Amino acid sequence: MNTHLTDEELLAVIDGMEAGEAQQHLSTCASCRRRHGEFKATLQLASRLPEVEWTPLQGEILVHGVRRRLRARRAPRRPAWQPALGGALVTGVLAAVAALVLVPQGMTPELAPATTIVQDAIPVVSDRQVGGDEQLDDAEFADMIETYLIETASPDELLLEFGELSDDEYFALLEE
Amino acid sequence: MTLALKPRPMSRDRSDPEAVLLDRLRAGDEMAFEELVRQHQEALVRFAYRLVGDLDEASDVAQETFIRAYERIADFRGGSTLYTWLYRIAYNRAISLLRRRRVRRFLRLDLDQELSEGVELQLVATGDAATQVAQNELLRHVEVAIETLPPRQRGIFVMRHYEGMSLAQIAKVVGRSEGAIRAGYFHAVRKLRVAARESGLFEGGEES
Repeated sequence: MNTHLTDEELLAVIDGMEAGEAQQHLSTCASCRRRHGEFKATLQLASRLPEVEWTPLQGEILVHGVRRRLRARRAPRRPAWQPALGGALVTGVLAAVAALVLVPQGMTPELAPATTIVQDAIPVVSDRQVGGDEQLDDAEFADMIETYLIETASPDELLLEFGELSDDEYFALLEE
Repeated sequence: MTLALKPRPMSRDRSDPEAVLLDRLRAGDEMAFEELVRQHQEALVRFAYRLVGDLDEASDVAQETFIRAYERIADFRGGSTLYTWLYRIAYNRAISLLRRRRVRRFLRLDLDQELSEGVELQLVATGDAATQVAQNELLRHVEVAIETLPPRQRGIFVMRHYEGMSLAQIAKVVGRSEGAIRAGYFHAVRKLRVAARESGLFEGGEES
């Protein structure tokens, strides 16, 4: 073999997938030997990165976390409007009782100010609460954009947005 | 009298602990699910940690993996081992997390900050302090290079290099051909070598 080994061939040698001819070439070619050594050293260095410490206590915490999440998912989910409706009903009942108790003698309950009940049941939201005066700092603004992108864009749109390829495109390229 | 030959349903091997566990899982046995979590949690957390580089996030990936496995156990056809199936779920979750992180980095340009918060390197002392510092510096470069690999390449590299999985096993996890996995692994290692070279690990010789 006169030409130099490709990177793939060198890595295959390191992986034990290539033998014979490539090995023979390595023994006679200093340039390929150097590249082979560099790949090997790189992988050895990567092997020296520390492993995560995982203790039995952490294991128990994880098991507990899984149980908790599972319970939370199994709990019947109430539609978002239910708590609001419940609150409104409670407020309405309380207001009705209060109206009956506090209504002046001789005044019929029908004349009690019914609008009070309605007003109590509807939360009043000021301009300030809806963000009229809010100033977002840069991080909050970035958060908002990120949330918008992640929640609204499809995975393909996101990949397109950031110049990446879809899984199919990526692996099709590798398979070529 | 002729006997009609009917194909017999495939009998499950009762001596295979995984088959037994799988039956119990499909029957909704919660103790079986807890067994599954205890059996595979450490391996999954280690795997996820290599991918996402943060223990809390790795633990979160592992927990969500188990929840998804619990919810989707009926979909598991037994074409691979439970272990491979769990890895596949964890891989997909971790890749999705890495992609979200890339979006965040793109928007905030906080790559440097995130990298500076990496794990402390713990090397066995092999000489004087200066050598130690130099080694840590080299490791840091390789660590950063791994962190900055594209998510899919990083996933393939972690499975091959740290999990010791064969190309065929990785291909099953990722759902792609062995050839594609091999190419992805080579791309990753090539990038790491370039990073190691740039960090001054290799003196002399030409970049090739």
